[in-house]
Amino acid sequence: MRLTIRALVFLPFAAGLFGQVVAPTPNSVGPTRGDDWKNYNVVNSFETGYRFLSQSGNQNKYRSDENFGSGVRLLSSFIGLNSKDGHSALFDELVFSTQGLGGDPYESASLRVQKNRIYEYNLLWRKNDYFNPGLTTDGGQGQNLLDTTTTLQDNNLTLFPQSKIKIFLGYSRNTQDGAGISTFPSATSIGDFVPVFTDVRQIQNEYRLGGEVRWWGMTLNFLHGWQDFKDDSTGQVNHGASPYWQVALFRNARWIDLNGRFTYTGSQRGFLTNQNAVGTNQQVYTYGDARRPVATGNATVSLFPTSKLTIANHTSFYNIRTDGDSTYLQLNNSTGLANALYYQYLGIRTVANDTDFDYKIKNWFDVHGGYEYSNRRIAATSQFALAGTPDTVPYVQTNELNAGKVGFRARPISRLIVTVNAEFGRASRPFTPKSDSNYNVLTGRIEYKWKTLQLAAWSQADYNDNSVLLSDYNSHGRSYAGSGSWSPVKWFAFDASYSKLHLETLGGINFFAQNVLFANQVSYYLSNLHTGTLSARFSLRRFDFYLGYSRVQDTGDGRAIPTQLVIGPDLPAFRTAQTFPLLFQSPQARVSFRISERLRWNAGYQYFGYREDFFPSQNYLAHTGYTSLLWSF
Amino acid sequence: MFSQTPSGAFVGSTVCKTCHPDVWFRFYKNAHFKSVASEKEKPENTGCEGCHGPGEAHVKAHGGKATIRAFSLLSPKETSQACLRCHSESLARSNIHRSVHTRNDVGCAQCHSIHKAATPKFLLAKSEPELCYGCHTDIRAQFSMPFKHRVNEGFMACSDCHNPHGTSSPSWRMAARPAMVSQGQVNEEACLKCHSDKRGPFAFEHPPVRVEGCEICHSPHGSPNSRLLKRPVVFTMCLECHNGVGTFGRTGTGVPMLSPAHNMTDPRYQNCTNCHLRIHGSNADPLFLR
Repeated sequence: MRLTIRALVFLPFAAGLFGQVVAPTPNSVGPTRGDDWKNYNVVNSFETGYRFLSQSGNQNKYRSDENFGSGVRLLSSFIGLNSKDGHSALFDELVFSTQGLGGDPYESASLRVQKNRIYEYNLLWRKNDYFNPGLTTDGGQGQNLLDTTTTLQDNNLTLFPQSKIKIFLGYSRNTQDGAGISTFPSATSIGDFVPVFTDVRQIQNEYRLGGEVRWWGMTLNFLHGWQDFKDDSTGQVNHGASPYWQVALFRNARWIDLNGRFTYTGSQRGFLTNQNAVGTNQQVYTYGDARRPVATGNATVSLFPTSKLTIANHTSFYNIRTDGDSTYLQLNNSTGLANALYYQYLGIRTVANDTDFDYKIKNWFDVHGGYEYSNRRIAATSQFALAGTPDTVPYVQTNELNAGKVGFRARPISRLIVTVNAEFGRASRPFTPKSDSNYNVLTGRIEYKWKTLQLAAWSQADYNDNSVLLSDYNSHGRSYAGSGSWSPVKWFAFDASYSKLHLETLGGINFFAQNVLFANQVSYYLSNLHTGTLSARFSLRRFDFYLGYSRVQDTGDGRAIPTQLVIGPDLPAFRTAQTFPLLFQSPQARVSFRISERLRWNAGYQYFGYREDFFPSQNYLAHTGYTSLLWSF
Repeated sequence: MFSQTPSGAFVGSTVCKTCHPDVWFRFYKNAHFKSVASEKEKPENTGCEGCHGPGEAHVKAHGGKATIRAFSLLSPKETSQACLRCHSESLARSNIHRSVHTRNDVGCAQCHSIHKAATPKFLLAKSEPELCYGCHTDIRAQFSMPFKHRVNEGFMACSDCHNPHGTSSPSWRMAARPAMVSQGQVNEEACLKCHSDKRGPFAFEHPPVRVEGCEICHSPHGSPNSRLLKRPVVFTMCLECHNGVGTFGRTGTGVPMLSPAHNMTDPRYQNCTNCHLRIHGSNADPLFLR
């Protein structure tokens, strides 16, 4: 019995660190139960070690995809203090954990402190080294590069969390800093541009104040937030605020649940842009402000007339308006000519209502269904004068969506669950050729569980027929997936999964090439994406082993050379855009040796291999790994 | 309400620990211990009997699942009803009865483990994303792609963007097909919680971003393509909308097609965002050039 207790105490941080990257180590040192200190039980863990990297091929692509480097790391840490009687002086629970500190591209730390009935505080801090070489696929030249660091933090404090009156306080901060290469379009010719080094500096601060009051079975929740955004990147100043409000009232009772919610956000941005093109003696100077108030309302009624039947009706409304003003001066410093620019108006108003039901016909069989009606009105004005009057009459369009849902869930035997869902939607006026128009989605799932064996299979067909020039189809997606896991004994576990996504899209396109109009052409894209994962864990005496393999392969349309014409414009660029076969695989292995009750040595290796069949300039290989010591009690 | 409704009086948690010491002696680490520590809750709202019902009959019978509310015998719906007796008093769970999970009979106990939790926060049966991958095998595949949000690396979690207890209808894309996406800043796409520079407002919005949402161009979980785009090359993705036909677009005359100056055989024009770099919205140019 004691062993069970001690192992379970350790589980929170042992299992919480598992992922598809080789480090940190998810294994526990041993049966850890923590040490007692005053009125607390303390559980502690540190894993520190060295991460190594050997990489060849396209370094930019590797940094974009994985970005792990070499160096000493605090791979993970955890400390937890729990009050034994729930009556400690300052806090009854403190949990602090970190991951990847010391130079990993994905670093995080979280802290939770709470005192029963008095307060609960949560902090989540994250730092991401983001590298993007720009759009380099298919012969691209890699402009719009970003090499930045993003830092995110969320602080949330709840006062009196167990009382009928709660107070919420929150603060979030989101920054992005670093280097980038942007482009500045040339005034001399369309398509010419000048690369511009950009010092990226963006900061967002958000403050929240809210509360919750319960009385007579009703709960009133309200929240007021202030979001402040500042972008001082090279060549532009963009400051603004988005104050927002949310009020919600809800009640849960035996036969009926009610909830209503109203939100309003009043976003505003003031901006100033100043760009110079020395070669062409041009100066572009823009200033003004943009406003986008957003109001939403939601109301839900859930009825439970019998224990077997649930009916839920949801009505939603949202209204978005974008307006503002912009003054644009494109100065030719030789002639002094200038232009004024008018902003565009975009208003979206949507009202939607959906009703769902779920009825349990038998204990092992239930059916569910629903119907949704949505009405969207979009008003757009191409030019809106600075004085606030439109230069053109607003164009108004209305789209109506009718969608039906139906499905069932059956459990013919206790180990087997079969689920089938279907959704059919018809929209009268989609906004873009790719929008949902006549769509049909059919999903099925089978799950089988027997002792420690779990098998599942899943399939989905998602068709969207929104033809422009062709009458048959626009997008056909078919997905198939299967997974299995088996752990017959405590020292062995095996997991496997496979997924195939077949995506076939056909869209009508018109374009120019060398001043010749290519009309009534089609863009055809075919992808056959296979993904598989395998993992096995087993223990031998003091050793724990983990073997894993992940493989992603797009087999494309099976062609041998990239310029082979299948469907579409007879131009090399369009032929090569039709399919994009590639292989991305990552085997990994890890060994973990328990030195003592509190100490474990770990070593792991993970390989990343990326290969494009037709454009090898982006291919790379990377050998990564680590060795570490894990100390815990 | 429940298929099992134990009768008799409440006996108190100290009686339970006589036979269930393995549960009781670590219960001070459980979030539900707060109800015991408060010492002010009614017997039906605290300790073991707060969830399992009065234990008198169970004690007299010297145990047995038939004499107590044993969650292993309850249906998912009944399990959820028992939990929601207390946990419905939260805005985050106010849409649970219309969530896709509830509709597919996924009850609380399928994701949460009260006595054998893998995470101290939220008492999850497994940590994310393994918990979600258990059913969503196709999503595991998407996060294995070369380009992906860093979920497997532990930098993000599924619940950063999704509310597994259900959400209100989205304020984009006809308020349809919500996929339980939790809304950032009370009424906007979850993407903007982190990608705040794309929020705007802009004097010149790229309309589909506001009308349809980010997924019109991006695959949010993972993609074999750069920047999570839905196509490996940019120009075909842009041209599939900007073809100038039909009644699409903001003026109903088709999404504007490219001018003759755009020579699509020239690589300069094939990476559209080299020039139209403010593609999510611009304050200075209706064509998103600056």
